[in-house]
Amino acid sequence: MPTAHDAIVVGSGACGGWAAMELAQAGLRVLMLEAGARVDPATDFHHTFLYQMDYRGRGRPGLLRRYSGSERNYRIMLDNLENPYTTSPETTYSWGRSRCLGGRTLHWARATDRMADYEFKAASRDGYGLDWAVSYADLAPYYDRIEGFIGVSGERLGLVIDAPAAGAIDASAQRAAPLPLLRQLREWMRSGRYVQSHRGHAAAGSEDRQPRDPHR
Amino acid sequence: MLLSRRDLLDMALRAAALPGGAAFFSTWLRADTGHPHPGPVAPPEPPLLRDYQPAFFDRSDFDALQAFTEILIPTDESPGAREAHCAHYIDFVLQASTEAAPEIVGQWREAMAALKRAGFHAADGAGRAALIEAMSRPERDPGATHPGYAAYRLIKQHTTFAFYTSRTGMIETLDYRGNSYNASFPACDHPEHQTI
Repeated sequence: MPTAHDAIVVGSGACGGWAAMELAQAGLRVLMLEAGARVDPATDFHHTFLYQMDYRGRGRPGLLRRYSGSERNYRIMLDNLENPYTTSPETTYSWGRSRCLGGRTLHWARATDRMADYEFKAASRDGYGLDWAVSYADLAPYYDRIEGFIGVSGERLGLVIDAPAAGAIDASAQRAAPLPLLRQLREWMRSGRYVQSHRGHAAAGSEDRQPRDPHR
Repeated sequence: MLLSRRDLLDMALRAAALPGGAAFFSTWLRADTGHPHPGPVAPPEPPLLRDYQPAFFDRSDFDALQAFTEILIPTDESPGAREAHCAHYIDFVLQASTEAAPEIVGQWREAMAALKRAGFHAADGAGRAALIEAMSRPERDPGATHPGYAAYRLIKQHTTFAFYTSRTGMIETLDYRGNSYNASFPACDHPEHQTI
């Protein structure tokens, strides 16, 4: 007997994964479709310095022509010949696309800078393109929510973040813990209570971590 | 296996029950969260380039290339292109490129020919340094030209890549810590950079 679903989410990356979680937590039956294989960062990634690879991350000449990734991650990247795309004639945009459970959450640079309000209004400043349809104030609550969930920590660092609205970063909101998981564990042990639940650690692959071939 | 928070909590509680565990966790709980954590120990350089014999360039061109790279990144109080085997690495990549990337191979053949035409191969050390200074002038002076400028740019680009992706450049020179995090990220404190 076929199973009925309330929602189907295509793709398990940062957007699809979050959407599926929200829907599932709201009580919907959610089907998530993912074309790639499961990659377990704990066992499928290993640390590799560039000089340990014969071609320093670029792969043997010719190897990576069909992939937008590097020697480290091309095994989970799409074959651009099999999945072509077009760009404007004046651009050479390289579209990095992967197929693996978790999508780009497994291969990102581990930096989650907020956009500043002036960046949403860039066209008004420099005359190029269009301003965003939303402002920083519109997105600030979502920044807060996601950063808390995935465990973003950091400092203001003198960065120019024009954040006048409620929910904006201010000095009191800075989280300086370099490793939130351990800090929260330490705080929990101090307080004797379990602070948070349902918060996974971001399975983030860095540029140093090279996924083994999930199709092997 | 990716450990969940609950797994870690469970492990921590079990570890605390072990002999010495309570003392360890007592110390750990008092620990300052800002203390530095060293990154993983960088493994030694693979042997690939240590005894590498040039397979793409002939001896004359290879010696010229090696001398060129050593002028670009000389050995002084820190290691340079020689210790990083930059010329060897360039040769290694090119010998693997003959079929897959003939356009790159052609660029290098032309570059070395341009170097020879400019007299680089035959020049002494001072003459070679002067030649590189002249070849690089268009980089600093948009009005200047030099027939060896394209060769200079090509060699410089590949030398810097070879150097800073080597263990010598990455670890010994830049002190790169690998897959570790920084406890702080000091930002620029120039007043002029504090405004939009």
